[in-house]
Amino acid sequence: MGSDDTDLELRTLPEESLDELYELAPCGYLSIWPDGTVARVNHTLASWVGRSRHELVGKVRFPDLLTVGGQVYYETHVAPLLFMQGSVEQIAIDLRCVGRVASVLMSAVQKYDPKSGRTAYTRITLFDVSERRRYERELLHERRRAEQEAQARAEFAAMVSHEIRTPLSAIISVAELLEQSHPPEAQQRLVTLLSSSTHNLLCLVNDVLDYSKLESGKLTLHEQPVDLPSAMLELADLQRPRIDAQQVGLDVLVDERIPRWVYCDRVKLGQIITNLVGNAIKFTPQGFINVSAMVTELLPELVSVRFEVADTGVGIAPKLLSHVFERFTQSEQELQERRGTGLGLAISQKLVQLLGGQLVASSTEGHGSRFSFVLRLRRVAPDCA
Amino acid sequence: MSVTVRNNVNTSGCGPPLLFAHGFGCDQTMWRFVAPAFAERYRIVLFDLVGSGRSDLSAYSRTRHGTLHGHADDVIEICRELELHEVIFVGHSVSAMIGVLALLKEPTRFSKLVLIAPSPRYLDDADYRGGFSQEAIDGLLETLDSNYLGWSTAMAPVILGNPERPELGNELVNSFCRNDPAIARHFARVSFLCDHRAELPRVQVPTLVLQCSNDVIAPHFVGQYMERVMPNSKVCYMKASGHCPHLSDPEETVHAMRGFL
Repeated sequence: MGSDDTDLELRTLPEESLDELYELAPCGYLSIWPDGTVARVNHTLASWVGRSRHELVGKVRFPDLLTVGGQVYYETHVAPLLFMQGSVEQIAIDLRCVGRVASVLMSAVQKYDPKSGRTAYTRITLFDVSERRRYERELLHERRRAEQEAQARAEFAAMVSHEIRTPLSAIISVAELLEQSHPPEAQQRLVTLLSSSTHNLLCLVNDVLDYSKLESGKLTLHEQPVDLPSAMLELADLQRPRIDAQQVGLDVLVDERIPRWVYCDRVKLGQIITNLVGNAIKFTPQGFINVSAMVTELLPELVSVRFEVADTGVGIAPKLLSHVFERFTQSEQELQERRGTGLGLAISQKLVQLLGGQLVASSTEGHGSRFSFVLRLRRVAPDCA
Repeated sequence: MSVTVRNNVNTSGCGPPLLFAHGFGCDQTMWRFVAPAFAERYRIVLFDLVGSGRSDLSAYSRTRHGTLHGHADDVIEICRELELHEVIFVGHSVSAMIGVLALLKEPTRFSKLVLIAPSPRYLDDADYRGGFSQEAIDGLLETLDSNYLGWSTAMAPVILGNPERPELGNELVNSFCRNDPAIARHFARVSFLCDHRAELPRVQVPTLVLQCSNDVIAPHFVGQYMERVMPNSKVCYMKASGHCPHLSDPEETVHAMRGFL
């Protein structure tokens, strides 16, 4: 062993000058003057672009060695970055080489004149990653194609749902008129069935429409000053008629520290809270539902609010809990009763994300569920409210 | 949403308003070497175009910002909200045309234009030589993709100290590269496919065009063209090379602007 170590230490590299290391390195090296003109270039890069050092130094600007698209990117992105942060790393850019375009990764660092502080020259390293970039382009191409297909599907679903809504509204109106015309008892049952079925169908179609709008990115935020405490109370009041039909109590707690006026999309926040409270009512045959909005962070211009809907209902089975925000996830009870679309929580999650939060769920089966999310809301300046 | 938040407007100094608009690929931080030179005598107003820098990305609309007119409307809204009058508009690259459009929408609000490396049309057309081809635009879009969506680390924001230039301090300077990839693509198309040659002769206010040497994006021909068709304009041919003289040679840029203002 000892003699092996000595052999290793005594081993010497064949004579290798620094010039050789620079000239023949497996990557392109060059230095450029502040106006972009080549000041120095190694043999590797000169051979890539098929020109002699004599043809390059002092005569050609570095951007001229790039493809036209690369030149535009260099001037609009790379050069500003270099001037502002003094260096760039691993910029993907294309170089015009002999008989081919080489995709290179470019790293560069500015060297400053110590007296004036101005850029003296820029040192650039180029690694040829053509093969890797080809693979990357294929991946990007496939990703874009998949995204376009998903969008087309969502748009189709939105279009179909929208088209269904019009005749459906007519059927609902007809059913209502029939109900009001006091039909004989035998027909009354059929009319009631017709009416409730069409309402369920409308809910389903609305859900599909909302979901496909969210999927295709068609839903956008409409932020406006909102009186948050009042809005929370109103939203809860809207649910009272449904609550009163069951043996369920509904409590609303709004943190007093919440500034009265904040910027928020009231319609979407309302949709989320309504969805969550609706779910809580559905799965709480008796007990309590607590809706709360509590401050978690209060800054001069921002407030973070934790919104929560908790119930003492049947809860969610552990194996279902991690899937509740996926599309078409329904409880055993819903499946048995053939109720709902399985889109409600998926829609709520997407809406919360659109507002900049994340909806999370926790539950103990048999004891209830808790859904919450935190939103960072900008406060409305007092004179704007 | 207030306009100042939407466009991340920042003001300093006092005096006649000097409104700086950055170009494609950048944000307002690119004025950091030039704007301070005017802060003593002017009110400096910096902002990010919607979709760039720290603007509100959710305010970017494919319809409104599907032409440069949408950005020009944004500029006018900023002027209204800040009650700016007699505005001297300084626009770089694509924002030069945004300034021209804003001025034509509300001519009384602006007093002068400083257009840095402007171009009313990037694509060649008959005997007009904008310098661009469809190939350039396709190539740019692909390079954008590689850098925004690929494995490149180029677009990660970095915090850098500048030991050689301590006056710059430690600052997050790469914020302009946090642009949303889809918006960057869209904005690239909107910028480089525009054609606002017809509007130029209608600009009556004194206009300074700063023409760089070796600018592939706004070549010499374009600078000469602008001077020819804009009645009250003057071209300053700069030594500064490339497309961003306010970064590569701030002194020369400040000098040229002072001479004009």
